[in-house]
Amino acid sequence: MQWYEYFLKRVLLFVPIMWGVSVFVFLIVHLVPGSPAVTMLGVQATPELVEEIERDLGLHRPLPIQYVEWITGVLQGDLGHSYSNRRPVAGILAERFWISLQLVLMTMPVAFMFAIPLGIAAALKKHTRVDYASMGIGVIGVSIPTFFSAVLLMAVFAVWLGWLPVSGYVSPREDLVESIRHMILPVMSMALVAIAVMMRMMRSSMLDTIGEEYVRFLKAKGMSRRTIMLGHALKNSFIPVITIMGLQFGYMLSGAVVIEEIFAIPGLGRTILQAVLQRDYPLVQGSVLLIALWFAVVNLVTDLAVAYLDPRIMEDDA
Amino acid sequence: MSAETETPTSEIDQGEAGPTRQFLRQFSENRIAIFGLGLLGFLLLLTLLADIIAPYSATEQNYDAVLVGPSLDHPMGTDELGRDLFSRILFGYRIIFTITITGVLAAFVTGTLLGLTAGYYGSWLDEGLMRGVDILMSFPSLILALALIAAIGPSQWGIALVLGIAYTPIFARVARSESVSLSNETFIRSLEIRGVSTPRILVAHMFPNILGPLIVTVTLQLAFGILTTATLSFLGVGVQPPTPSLGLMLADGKDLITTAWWMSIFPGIAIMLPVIAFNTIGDGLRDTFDPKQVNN
Repeated sequence: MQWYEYFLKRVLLFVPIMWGVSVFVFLIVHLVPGSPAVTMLGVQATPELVEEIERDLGLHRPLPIQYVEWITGVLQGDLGHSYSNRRPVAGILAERFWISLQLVLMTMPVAFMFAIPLGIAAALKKHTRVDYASMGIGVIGVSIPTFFSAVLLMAVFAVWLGWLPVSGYVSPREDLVESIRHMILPVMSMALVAIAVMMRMMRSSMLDTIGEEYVRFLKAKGMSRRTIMLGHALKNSFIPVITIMGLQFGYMLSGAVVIEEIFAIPGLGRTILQAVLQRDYPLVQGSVLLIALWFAVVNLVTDLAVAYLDPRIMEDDA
Repeated sequence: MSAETETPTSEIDQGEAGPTRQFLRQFSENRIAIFGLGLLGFLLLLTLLADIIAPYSATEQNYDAVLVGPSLDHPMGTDELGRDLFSRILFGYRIIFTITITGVLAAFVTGTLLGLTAGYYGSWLDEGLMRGVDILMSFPSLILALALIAAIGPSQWGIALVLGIAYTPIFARVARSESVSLSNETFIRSLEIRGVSTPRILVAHMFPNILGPLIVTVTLQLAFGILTTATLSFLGVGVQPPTPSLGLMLADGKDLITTAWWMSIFPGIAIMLPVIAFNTIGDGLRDTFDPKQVNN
């Protein structure tokens, strides 16, 4: 299979999947036992208000018609109206998406900077203290709840030492230095999981490469260990790591829910949590849809990049 | 697991061990996994005996002992309502284990059935089921959980249900990929020719043969499940007070971290322990089932 064929196949598959995702997100409101309008209003529910919301959401019409109307709106950028914010959902999401993206984009290089050298060191010094230490970091990194590491970092660096602000968000356009200072702790907490996962992947991938035929051939040819490792093995070891990085890039939006809540960052994660707590269904639908789209696009791009770098993968997938 | 245990015949002395025994020997060589198993056993024992071990009730408030640090009376201190943290953690384990195990087992059963069926029948059924799985997998699992909680409302059993739904696709994928290759094996084909019913083939013959990878997935998902359950409770959309919940305890503790560090540290460590146990057991099982993946 050629890369462009693979590209076409994946992109064509993307459309029905996203359609399925949209149906699922649409149905969230209709899974609600009883009338969503009553649930949303809670104690404030009066017959008039319930009717108003039901009319607003078009709940009295048959489901397929409601879906068609909803998805037509979504495709035109109309995600409905948030009840808790009294604003269009699309406007809220547009604002908050960039904040979460900023968080993720700052976390990725930090995770990379720590994970890759540690993973390489663990692979080259297999079964030494370096390797065992990396294993320890790996197990703890994937086992510590994000909210626990975030609270610990906050306690030490913000409360106890007082080096960094406890919480809050400053836009980089407003004050770049303050913005970065506010982001350090959230980024560190978020990076921990990614470091653990990427480091372990880097280690095992590097070891796999070292075991391959061509590396042994280079060794037999008399090439120095250093040149083999850094010049040849390293490049090929990166491919599985890219897949994991892509996955992490998508998963960080889940992490953002916790991190943004703890550090009071008004991003997408905090928005979805508050929408769920306040039962603001249009906002829940909009933010879940946006996150699913982000996740799917990141995975698609990752798969395409990996297939481009290592065409063997396309054969497995065919 | 069968009759070969504890029979002092010469057969065993010759090293002609059955696959189960061989598996156990290999697994027991993995010291980290054995550590995980011991840790898990210890935690489960604490959970089962919580009624006997816990020095206090999990919900009883004592205003004479508010925010007391770790001491002989209260080994892990007390919270802002004077409740004993050690007792709350023990009962919290009971809740979090119940929720997570229920959810993961539900996902295991439904996902495995779906995956087995899809892989065995192939064609349109496979396509249909697996595209459904793809759709569910288009959401990061915490986001999927939050979306479902938005619909059904926050509650303890709600989380178990949500975990069941969110993890089903993972089991379906594992079961399907194993079952595709297995359904072409001669012994399965011969069962078909002999007229054995399809449900019987799936459950009695295919299922036991794909159990290995599924058990690895169960263990690793249990680790994930504990984290997710705790996270949802921490965020306020899971277990509701006054039920003791490790996630909620940390949420209460974080605001008091300067005055009462024990309220954050102990629940946090308490959450990590079972996750570490499940992760190390899962890694060990994976290495034992699939020696090709081990880089040693």
